[in-house]
Amino acid sequence: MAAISNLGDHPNSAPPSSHPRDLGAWIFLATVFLSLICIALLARNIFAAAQHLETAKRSAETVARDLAEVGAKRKAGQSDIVQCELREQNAGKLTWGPCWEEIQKRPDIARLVNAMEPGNPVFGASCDGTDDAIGRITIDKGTPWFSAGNTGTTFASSDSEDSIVSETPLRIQVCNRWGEPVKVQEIKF
Amino acid sequence: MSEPSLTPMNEKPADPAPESLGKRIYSFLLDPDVKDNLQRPIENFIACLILLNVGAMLIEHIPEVYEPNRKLFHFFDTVSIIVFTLEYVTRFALCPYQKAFAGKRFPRLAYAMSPFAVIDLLSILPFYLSAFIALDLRVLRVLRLLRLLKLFRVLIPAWKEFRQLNKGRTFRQHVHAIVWPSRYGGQIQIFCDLFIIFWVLISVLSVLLETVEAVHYILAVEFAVLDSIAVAVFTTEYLMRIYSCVEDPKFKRPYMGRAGYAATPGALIDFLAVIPFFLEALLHHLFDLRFLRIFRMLRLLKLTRFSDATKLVWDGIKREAGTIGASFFVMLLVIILCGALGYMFEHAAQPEKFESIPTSVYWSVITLGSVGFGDISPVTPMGRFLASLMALLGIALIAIPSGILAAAFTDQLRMEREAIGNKIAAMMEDNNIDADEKAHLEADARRLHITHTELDGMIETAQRHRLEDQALRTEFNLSAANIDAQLAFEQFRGILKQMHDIVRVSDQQLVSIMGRDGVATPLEKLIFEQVANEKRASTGV
Repeated sequence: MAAISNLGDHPNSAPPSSHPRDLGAWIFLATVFLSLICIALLARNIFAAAQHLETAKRSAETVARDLAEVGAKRKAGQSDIVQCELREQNAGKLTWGPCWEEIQKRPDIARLVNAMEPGNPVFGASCDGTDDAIGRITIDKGTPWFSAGNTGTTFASSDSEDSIVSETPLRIQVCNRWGEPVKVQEIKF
Repeated sequence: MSEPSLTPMNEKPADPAPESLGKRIYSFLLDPDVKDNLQRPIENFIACLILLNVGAMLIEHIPEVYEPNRKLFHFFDTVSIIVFTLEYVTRFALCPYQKAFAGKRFPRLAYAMSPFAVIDLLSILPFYLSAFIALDLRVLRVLRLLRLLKLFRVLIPAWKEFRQLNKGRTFRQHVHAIVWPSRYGGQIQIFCDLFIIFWVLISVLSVLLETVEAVHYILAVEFAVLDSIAVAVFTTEYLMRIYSCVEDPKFKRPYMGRAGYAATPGALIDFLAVIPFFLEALLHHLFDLRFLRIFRMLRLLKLTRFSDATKLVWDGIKREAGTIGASFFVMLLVIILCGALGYMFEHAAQPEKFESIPTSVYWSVITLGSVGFGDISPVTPMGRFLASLMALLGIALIAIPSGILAAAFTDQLRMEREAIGNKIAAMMEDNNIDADEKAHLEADARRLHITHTELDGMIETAQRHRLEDQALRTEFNLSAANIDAQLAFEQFRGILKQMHDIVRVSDQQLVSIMGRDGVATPLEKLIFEQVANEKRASTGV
């Protein structure tokens, strides 16, 4: 047969050993094992954070549903929360803070649990990238804009002094493990 | 060289006993010992179907995806079951022709009791049972996971083959054979490659879909799980490669060899594919490492290891690096000069747009590249004239490196094909290409996208050239010519060619010699006349 190199058959390979698993093999296996353990531990943390975020998302969905319900009622003039109701006598003094305080007392929201620790869900102004912010629920208030024939809505953190005398777009978000907001829903309140 | 046939020429070989229809169907569909039948494609198809089934089972757990597509999932499940049932019935019916059961008294019963048949049955039984017994959906889903066991039908023979190929070899050599292509890898090495490719694609797809807000909202946990599994797979692969790379003579020193391997582009890509996961998970408290997430896209580069075309292009680029570098240098000069001219002509008229030479260089790149965003455009006559020239110049400027790259690729391909030709010629030293050599050539042919027909043509051409060379170079080899008719013919042809050459250079002298009495025999005269006439006819003399 003509001399050609065999595919992947390296002449300098170690000769076959009578003990196929030498010290190097054990070190290799131990390294693989430890790496997989390390990945599993890190993955467990990531998975736990993802699960917490899912819980927070479910809570945020409940909040969004309740806000949408209150919003629909107040527009129809049937709201059971006076601080939120769109009425002539409320004109000019209807603000987000007192209304939100009352909404939080509604049973569906009051019974929600915090994704991170025992207690109610954490409502915050924004996602700031800190550990405490993971799973935080934020409610941003939208401001419509018109420019050069285009329209849109800009969202910013809602303030308790913000007026809600007219229909107000709200965006409900939760903070993920990187402190980024994850949009849950946008509603008209 | 081919063995002389022991069968007398005029005696026909005895007709083999006619095969039954069942045997023929078995040979065509299921016999692993028959080359080029449907056995391998069928097994691959079944393996793909099993993987799709597992994927479907996992997706079914996501209500947002499953609920709107419930009918589609059910349809797929039914089709899968039909295919698996057909497979089971066919194997059951044809098992008497299978070597393992051919000699048994009750071959079908023996087959039905065999582990593979039990696995096949278990994979379809829950579906039929659910038609008669009200099974809990969760139990049914768990039972459907039994389909995964069908993969053993492919994996176990591959593992046995792997063990056989690596008998007496070290553990490290085993690991090397799994992750690197070699004659010891067999099917297991191919499965390993496919497994890695599968996870690369899954992982990259996850990264892409994670940026789709609606998808990520639903599948955030699933993406986290998939990423962790992908990292576990890629880390194990990376460690296996680092551990076993010393089997390659290039990296044979235990420490420096491994360090050398770790610095290769392939190993660096493997490293970058996993390191963002660890850094992000361990250090996200200290630094904002969100940007590392995009590095997960680098996993796509892992696929270049499995693409021979990439190596071909890379080799071509390396070979033409000087020329390509020169063309890029010219391009850089033109870009900067045009940017500077643009600044000179336009700065006074539009100081806010052509505010500096770097800004003008941006405009120059956009114009020369024929992109023309339009955010910066010239307004002065000279500026517009320059822009027009640049638009035309840009075409040529882009065409030069493109042409060089295309030529480099073509040249590389041609050189590699010529190398195969030389390799075939080297293999033909003993007038024979054995199975190992053929496998080697076929691997090369696959790499260069040469078809089987083309390869056979190359081998035939090499054989013919070899025989011609042999006939011309060697003296009469009567013993060889006696055995090999083709060689005898080539030698005859060689002699005839030599006769033509002799007549061509000394026609008149030969005529005078042939004319003398008693010098040439009648046969010699006849042959000479024939050759000379042929030569005169061809030259028109």
